[in-house]
Amino acid sequence: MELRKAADRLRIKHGIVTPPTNPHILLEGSQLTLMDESFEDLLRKFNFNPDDFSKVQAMINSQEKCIAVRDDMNPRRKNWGYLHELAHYVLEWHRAIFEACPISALSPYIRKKLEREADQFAAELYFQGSGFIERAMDGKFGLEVVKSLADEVYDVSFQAAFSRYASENPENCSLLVWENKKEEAMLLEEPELTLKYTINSDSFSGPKTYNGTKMNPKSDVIKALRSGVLDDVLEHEVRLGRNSKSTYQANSFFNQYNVFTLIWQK
Amino acid sequence: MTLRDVEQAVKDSGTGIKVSNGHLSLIESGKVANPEPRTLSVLSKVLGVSYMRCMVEARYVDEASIGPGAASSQVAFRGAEKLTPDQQKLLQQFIDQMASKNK
Repeated sequence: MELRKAADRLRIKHGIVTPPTNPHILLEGSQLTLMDESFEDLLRKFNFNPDDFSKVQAMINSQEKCIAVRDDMNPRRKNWGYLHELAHYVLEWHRAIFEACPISALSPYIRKKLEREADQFAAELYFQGSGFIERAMDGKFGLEVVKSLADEVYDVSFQAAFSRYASENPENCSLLVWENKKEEAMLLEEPELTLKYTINSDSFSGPKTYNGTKMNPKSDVIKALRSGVLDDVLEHEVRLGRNSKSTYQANSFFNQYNVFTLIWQK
Repeated sequence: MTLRDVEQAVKDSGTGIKVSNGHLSLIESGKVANPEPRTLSVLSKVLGVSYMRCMVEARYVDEASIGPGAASSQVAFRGAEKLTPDQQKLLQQFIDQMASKNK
């Protein structure tokens, strides 16, 4: 809630009161600039191999007040990266740490914590507090309305919007995010989906799910993947719990890398 | 300064952060050994102590790394927490080279 308040204050201070949130207004208002060079170019300039840092998506230099992001990210991911880095700059307790000690001195726990907070702050800026979930709940329950809002109103990735929908939802629901570990070329022929993570609503009362669980190859989702459904929402049912006795309504959305399954019981 | 005074001072700090009297008591008695960094930040202001000292006490930061002569990073990265220890050392070399170029 404190992050939400801090994000709201910043957003309103810079006149952003309706979606979409334009990250460039917030960067400019905070006197941050984008580097002329991408993160990869910067690494090359100092004789480092960009492949060694493939997991790093963006950086901020608070002394120089500038941000660099990777070249190969799509515009929405770049925008997310900007707001994530902005969080490290405007949240006083983040900035003080980075200005006081080298990154290697931070415990793994605190590094993860700061990264998670920066993502939460970016989400609060993008989804503008409770505005997103209120709009989404006005429509038919499920991923279709979330897709529309992400595309047409909030200008955010589907992944970010689905996650927000599940985490803020007042209903009993959960988002299961599956990863296809097969090579891209094999995606449609022999899909093998492994549960990567789950986001539950506060009121979710379903059975516990375990990361690493494989999806049943006979499921509707796998059948749909084999038939080549991509970038679309499939309506289906899933059975969970002991002896699969609990039936949930479900929506699954497929992209090239992940399958997002929203399950709910009303 | 009583715990209630601290609670009120945090509330008045304008940060939007709240720390209850009960939570302060748990921090004081050591029952909450690792308070949130944002809580430590506002408490350090209210109590007039160094935030980084609090971070060291909470074992979030290695003490040797913030002593005199220790280089600060001034740089934050999205995704750096996913790097291996060797990659993190390499990243620190990159930061050091950037910093030395700017001097």
